[in-house]
Amino acid sequence: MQPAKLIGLGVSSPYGNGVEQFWNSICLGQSGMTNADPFDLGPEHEHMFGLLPDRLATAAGIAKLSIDEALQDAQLKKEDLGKFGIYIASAHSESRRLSRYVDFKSSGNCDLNAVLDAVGKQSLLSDSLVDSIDSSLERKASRIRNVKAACASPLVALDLAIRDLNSRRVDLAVVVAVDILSRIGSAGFASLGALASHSIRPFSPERDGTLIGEGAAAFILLPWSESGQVYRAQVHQPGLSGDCDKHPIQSNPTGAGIERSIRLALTNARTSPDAINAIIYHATGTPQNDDAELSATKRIFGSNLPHACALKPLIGHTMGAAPAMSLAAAAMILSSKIVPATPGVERLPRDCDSGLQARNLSSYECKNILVNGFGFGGINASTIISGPQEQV
Amino acid sequence: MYLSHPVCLFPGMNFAAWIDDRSAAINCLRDGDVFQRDIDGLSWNLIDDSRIQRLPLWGGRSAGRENMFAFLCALEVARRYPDAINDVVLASNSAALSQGYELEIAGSQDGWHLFNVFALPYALESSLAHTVSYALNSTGTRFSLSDGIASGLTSLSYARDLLEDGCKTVLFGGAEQISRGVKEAIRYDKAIKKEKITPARYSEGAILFVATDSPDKNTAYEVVSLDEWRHSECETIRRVMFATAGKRANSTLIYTNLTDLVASEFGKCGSKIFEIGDLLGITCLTPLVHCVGDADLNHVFIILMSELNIIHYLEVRPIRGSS
Repeated sequence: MQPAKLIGLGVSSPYGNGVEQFWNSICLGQSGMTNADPFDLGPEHEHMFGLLPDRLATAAGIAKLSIDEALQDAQLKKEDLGKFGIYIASAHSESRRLSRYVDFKSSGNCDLNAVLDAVGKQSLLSDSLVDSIDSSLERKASRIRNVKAACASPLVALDLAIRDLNSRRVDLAVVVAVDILSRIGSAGFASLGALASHSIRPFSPERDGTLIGEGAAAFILLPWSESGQVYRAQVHQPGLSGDCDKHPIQSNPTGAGIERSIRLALTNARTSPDAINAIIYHATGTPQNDDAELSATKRIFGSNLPHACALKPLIGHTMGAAPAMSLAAAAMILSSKIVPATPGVERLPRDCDSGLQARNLSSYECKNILVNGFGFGGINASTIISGPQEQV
Repeated sequence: MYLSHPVCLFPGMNFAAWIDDRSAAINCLRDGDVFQRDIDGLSWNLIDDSRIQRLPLWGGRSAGRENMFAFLCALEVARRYPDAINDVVLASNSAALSQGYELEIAGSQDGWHLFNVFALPYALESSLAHTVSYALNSTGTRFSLSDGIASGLTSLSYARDLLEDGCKTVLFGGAEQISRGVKEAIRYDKAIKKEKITPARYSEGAILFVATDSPDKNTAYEVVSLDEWRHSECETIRRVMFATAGKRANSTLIYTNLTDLVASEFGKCGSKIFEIGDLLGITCLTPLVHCVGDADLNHVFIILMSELNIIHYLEVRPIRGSS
């Protein structure tokens, strides 16, 4: 299958709206995390969050901002999109709106009927996110795909988009991934015990969990055969795999499924491990996930790992948007020739080599970047993004 | 593209008989009392598969129910296709609502308990595909989708795309469960649309099919046409329907929510329009269950408009002589 041409990119992140703001802040090593407790989880749950500057943002709102930026980047107007498809990825949809329906604090206790009423509305919120995005594109999409694959959703949506572009079921794809934090979602992560005490420390022996963030990223893609348009990068069909041989909803601790998805991504891109110049890890900072990802990566790349980075220590785990944020960062690595540092790497033991950089790597000619994204329940997805000049 | 015989689970049916016992399924579908019935009587011992015992009720019992419907069906699919299924696409319009049921049974108004109940199964929609993959030992592509009342047809559409791209067999279909959350959603939906609230016979269960690129012993249908248009393209579907008039002169089943459009244009052609118990996102697949083994039926048309004003169109031809 041929890759897609990436012609437009848009991002909303804890740094604010815009790709430039996102990338500059990452390269400066600025933290997008805040220790404010907007969800009032209580003193036993004082965690950092990667919050958008606009605390009242909706998932649809930031998704639309990202799409608008991506269209502008592609120098396209909405009315000129032709036969296009929308591919939407989100794990939580409009969960913040759901939370607003339920005022836990004022009642001092929960009003069960209010909660149930809110749950009822939630069923419509997934649809309302899709409907709102569809409406913003003037309801002219010939195809709409709403993917539910937890935190791997963006790369599954990308897979569907690239398939449709290859078969010309659509002539242009708008891929958008978004997730937004809410009191309910945040409290859930907290009560799961999945949140880190202070920071995300990918691959560190002392890592103790993840921290959650919010954001959106949008991509405008064209079929490979489409000529005449300047493009940022070529995005290859992702490799997808599922872990189910041990447990229905736990990922395989050996990383066997992750290894399959990476190898499939390499095959889809018709390339080999030694042609990969950089990796953007999923790297949640949780004990099991990081072990599985690093084990799989080492089995494929050997001890000589490519340079790598991980975004989550800077912006948090943006859940159903996380692999899309990584893909956006990978596109920026290709154009800026900077592989950003990952905070906390300098404290990793020597024998904990993962390719992560303690300092920005500048003037680095990067041709092929591996991007990983893994979802709850063992949904594994990896893709390779290459510079526009690379041979297909 | 070919579709297998459906494997279904509906309230009140003897699920051990599965859909091979066609009358049992249809009786369930036509049973006006399905809303009040439940399959809580499911016994884990009825199907001899040790994996059921290991199915965790992760995130509280809410993770179990509709996933369990689909899981049980998937075990039967696995028996029919012991080593062939790799890719799984599952649909549900209300998976995220399972929490509602859990809240009902939790009987607790403790805030943290409710947080747990809500947030732990946030990935329920994707876990529907997990549990089915587990039953099938499938390690390929898997994901879930939610596309309103068109979810079932959309999962078929995804399966078609995967087949066109080289996959040999794809499992699709979906599962739904009745919960208080579902009921609230339906009430709210009706309210915001300012529509008259009509009593509906809501049902729950699962319907799974295997889509293949060539017929096999389990094949029940050949897909003649599968397409989708925006509502603004109603003229297109009128033309398509007009072109199928010859087929519809014979025995034909049409299932649609576009009653005005289809009935006004084609009702006089003898098409049969009917409604059955509301299985939410998978209702649109129930006509395929309805007509399994109907020797008089030459074509099945399903025409549905989703909440996003997308018209989904499916035409299938039953394959005679299959199991």
